[in-house]
Amino acid sequence: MEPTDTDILVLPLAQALLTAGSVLALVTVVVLVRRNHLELRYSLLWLLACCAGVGAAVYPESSRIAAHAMGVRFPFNAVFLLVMAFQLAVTFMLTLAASRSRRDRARLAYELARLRLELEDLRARDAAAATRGATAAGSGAPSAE
Amino acid sequence: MFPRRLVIVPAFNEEARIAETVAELRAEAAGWDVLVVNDCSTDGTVAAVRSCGATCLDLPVNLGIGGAMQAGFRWARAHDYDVVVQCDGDGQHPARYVDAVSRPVLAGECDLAIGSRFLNEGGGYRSTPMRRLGIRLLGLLIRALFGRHVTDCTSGFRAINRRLLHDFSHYYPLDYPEPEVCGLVLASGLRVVEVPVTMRQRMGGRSSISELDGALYVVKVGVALVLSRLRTLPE
Repeated sequence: MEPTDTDILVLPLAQALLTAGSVLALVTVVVLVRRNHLELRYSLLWLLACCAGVGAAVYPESSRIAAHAMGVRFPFNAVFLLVMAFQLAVTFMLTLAASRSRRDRARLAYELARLRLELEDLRARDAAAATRGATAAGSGAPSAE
Repeated sequence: MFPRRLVIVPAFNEEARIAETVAELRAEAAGWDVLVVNDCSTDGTVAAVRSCGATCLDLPVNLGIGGAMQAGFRWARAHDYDVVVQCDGDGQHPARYVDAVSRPVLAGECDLAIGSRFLNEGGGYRSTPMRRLGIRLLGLLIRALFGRHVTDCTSGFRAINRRLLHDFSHYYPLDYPEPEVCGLVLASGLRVVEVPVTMRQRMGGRSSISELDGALYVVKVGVALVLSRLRTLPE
């Protein structure tokens, strides 16, 4: 007899691999957040995805329930649709962050360039004042400073 | 009171020509201060600018033409300038036209004045045929979207007043800004005037869009123009 979509999802090996993969991903995300390598705000979506993965592995019937709720005939198609939606959400979030970051970068670059210019100006004035002072001291005249 | 006037020269790897451009501005645009914005050049642009004693805003990272111009606008606003002219550092824009380009802005006739190479009957360099076609297409799109004909929307020889200086220091398009700025200014109900100028062929450096496929540039800028129809400059 041909296996159905649901049968494939509940194969013990597939279930074990999905469980192990999801738990590993969950632990990795938590460790990265703890070590400050991943910002908490960007980790929330990944934590949610890992939890969903663990849930789907432990309770395979959930894919059928999700497919039914979404009005999709085959659970596999529902899972693919959810994964694609997740990828789009992550990509959109990243482009938003990149746009904001680019504006911040431009502002910081300007501020740094402005400070450099002001510092050079101050140094030049200092050097000019020191030269004037040295010249005045050499000639015995009172310094202009 | 005499208006404070500034020429901003964005420069990226313009070592060959920048000193000459600054010298020409000083000689032929009397009464104008000059600010060179070095967009993290990898050649001797900064040394060349400093050797001629011009003020140089030296960006620590490459921001592109839009980011470099916005840095210049921020600096101009912080130093209370009344009118700002943008002028390329590669020698394309003759300094003798700085006064002509800024005149309508200083007279209060417009907010943005664009130096157009296509209004001058006297000739001069008018770019390659493919680029001219792209500029024409973008001009037609601007006319369709905003009802105003702009013959040279990609020209980087332009002047703005205090109002736009304020707006651009808060928001300025980062990629291929010139045509999009035309759209944003017109969408905000502000006035644009074109002034005939003669341009020269660039004598050094590289064009900011030379490596881009021209068709892709027109498509990208076209989309940006359509989107600019839906928004105005943030106050």
